[in-house]
Amino acid sequence: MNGIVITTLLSVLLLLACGNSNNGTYKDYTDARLKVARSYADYASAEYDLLRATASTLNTRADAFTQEPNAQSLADIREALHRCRTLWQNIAPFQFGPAVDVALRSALNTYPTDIDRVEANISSNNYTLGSIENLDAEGYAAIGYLLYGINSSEQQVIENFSSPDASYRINYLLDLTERIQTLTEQVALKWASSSGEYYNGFVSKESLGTDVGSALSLIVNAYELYLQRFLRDGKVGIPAGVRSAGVPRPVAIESYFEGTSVSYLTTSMRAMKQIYTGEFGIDNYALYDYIVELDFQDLADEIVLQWDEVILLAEELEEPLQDQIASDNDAVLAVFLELQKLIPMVKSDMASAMGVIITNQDADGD
Amino acid sequence: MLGLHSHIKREVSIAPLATFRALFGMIMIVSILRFAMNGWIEQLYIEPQYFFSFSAFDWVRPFSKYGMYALFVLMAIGAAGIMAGWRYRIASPLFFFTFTYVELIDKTNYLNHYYFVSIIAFLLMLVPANRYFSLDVIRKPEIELTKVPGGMVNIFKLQLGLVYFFAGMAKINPDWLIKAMPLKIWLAGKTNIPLIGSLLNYKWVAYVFSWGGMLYDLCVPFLLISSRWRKFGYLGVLVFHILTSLLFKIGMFPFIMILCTLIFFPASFHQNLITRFRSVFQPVASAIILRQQVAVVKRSGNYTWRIIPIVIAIHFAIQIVIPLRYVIYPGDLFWTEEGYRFSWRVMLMEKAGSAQFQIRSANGKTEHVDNSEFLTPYQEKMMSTQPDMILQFAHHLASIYSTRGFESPSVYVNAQVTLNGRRSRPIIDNSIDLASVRYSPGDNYWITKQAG
Repeated sequence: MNGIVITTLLSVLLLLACGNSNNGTYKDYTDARLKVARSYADYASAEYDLLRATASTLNTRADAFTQEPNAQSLADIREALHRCRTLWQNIAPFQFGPAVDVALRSALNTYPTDIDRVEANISSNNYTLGSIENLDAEGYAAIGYLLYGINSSEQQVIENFSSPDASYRINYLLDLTERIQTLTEQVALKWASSSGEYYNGFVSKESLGTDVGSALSLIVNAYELYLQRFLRDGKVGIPAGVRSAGVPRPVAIESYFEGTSVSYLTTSMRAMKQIYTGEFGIDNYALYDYIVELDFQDLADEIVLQWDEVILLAEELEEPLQDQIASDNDAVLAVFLELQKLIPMVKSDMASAMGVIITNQDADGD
Repeated sequence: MLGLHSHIKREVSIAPLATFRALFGMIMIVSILRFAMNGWIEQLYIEPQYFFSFSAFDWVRPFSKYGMYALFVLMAIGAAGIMAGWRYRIASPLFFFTFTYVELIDKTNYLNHYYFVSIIAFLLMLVPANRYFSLDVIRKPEIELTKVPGGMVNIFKLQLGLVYFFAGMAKINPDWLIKAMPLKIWLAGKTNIPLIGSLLNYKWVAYVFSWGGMLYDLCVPFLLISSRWRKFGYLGVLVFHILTSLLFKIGMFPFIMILCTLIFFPASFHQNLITRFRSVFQPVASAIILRQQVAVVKRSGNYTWRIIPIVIAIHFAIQIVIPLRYVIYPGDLFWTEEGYRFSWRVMLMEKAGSAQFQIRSANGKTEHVDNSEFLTPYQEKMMSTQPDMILQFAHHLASIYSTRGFESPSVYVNAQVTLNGRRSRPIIDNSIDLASVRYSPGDNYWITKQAG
């Protein structure tokens, strides 16, 4: 009896479902996720390649500067550092896979730099880059300290690298730029579209679900983590004092010595928006498009609008950020709060609409 | 009443109970090994610095690293004892208490199927499942029984029936049946799996799965007790659970159910299994053969069955009341989750949240909390959608911040939750200081009432 009931009910339901809706009943979700994975793999591939090339320039210019420290060679290496740090903003939200294997983010962009540690390493000329205790004595921020000093004039910096006892300082700078080049190259190689092993696995069929480890899950988790921890907290919240009982910590900004933090902040926000909308090339099928495909058009648009709000507000901040914090920290806090509004949209609504779990911990459910 | 009486007292073969015991013990060993090999002992019980305890069981704390591993070793020994029927009267409580202790450490890890395992272990502890086809019988042949009162077998059928039935009742809700949520979201994510994957691209498939799942859960206990429909019902068990294990990350649960529901089959089926097992192991275990040859019909009269019926009656009364307790609480059950746990509500919700806490001190200091400083990513995820855990964490934050120079800190939270594809909205009233709130079911005014 029960069997007959079930069969009848199921067939009635089946007929109903097939009969009344011809539009939108079939969607190729695997194909949609393949397009997503490909767009982002191409993006990562291209951006890592740019970063690799620029890291190599930085390294070459470090050679040139240390061989002949003068105003021109200093300007050249400073320019290369600035380009590296700007490009880094584009790829910083893609920290998974090969980048995580070499801990790229902490090696390249740990800040604030521990000045005492840097000076101690230089004077001892005995250190292991990549060790935990040296994470805040290497990377872009440490190079920034070496090339700009604390309110030092160009002449002072040039003297630091040309005095008779500068050899340890020179070694340190060269070690820092070389390590950045090596790590960036390793990651870029794995992402290279023609030969990169990671690229191919990323767009393979097994990777096109939504489970932990799938391409979509990696993208969404990395995007959310970056938004929350590195953009909202690292670039804005922590310097503005949200984790220190409201007492601002201007030394905790991204580029304290160069004074270009606002520029990196807005670059990062624009990159995050572009990564979301797919405006990073021709015909890119991005998170936005996938959300629309899943019938969440309103949500998809709302996230774009919120990015616009955030960018508009951040563009009003004055460079350098430490001065802005000192003169009007409320403007910085306002950016923090506006960024905060994005978090539920991305972490709750977007992830849930996609069925992607925000946590890279694998666990059973029921 | 006469019928009920005969289901309890009438003597039946002990064979179903014996195979049930052996299979359950076996799958538990597999589960424990899998759990350990996935690194979950470390991740779930050693790495976290804070644990969400259950209110009446806040004395249940994790042990040190080696203590936790020792606890799992004891649990595995208990499971092995259940499987082999070895020192069963020690092994079965050992498994029940170690397993349940672990489950009570942290709400984060609550799963209905862990609760189910605890209940089965509890019931197994009360019956003489070791008195046939066991090492205990080889050790002490005089304890062997071939028959037990029917109630000892039927309690497991009743328990399984309740699990399925309540799981089916819980699926009768508009989201599940009319919107095919959350399956619509989940199945769309699985279109890349082999064989059935491409089928999942069709919207109607989510409806078929939703209605089919509801009907399966409601009907399968009745199919399994009917001798006419049993095979059909068990085919349903196989199809349903294998499908769910392919589609969802639900671990061992499908296999546990596939094995446990075998208890609905007649005694002859189980006797057959036992005979086959014995013939396979003939060369190695001659002692077992010996027992088989002296198989005499022994009555169950020498087994005492006195207070246990009362315990079991209370158990089932609780089993019926607990899943229904939600009706006395206001608000949407899926939203507030008051009365949600321990009710066989499985796979019903796609819920995700983000909880951002703010601490304010009496002297005007404020700070935004970084949850990852105190919780693992998995704990944070589970906390963000469950009001009672949000409150527990808020209290924990209050006590931590009072040692960080925040004078009588108040705790506020912006917790945005989305349920089954709805746009997210606050689940907690963000104007209420959670440090001053106590959890009281039925009167949790600080939880918003609707998913929207």
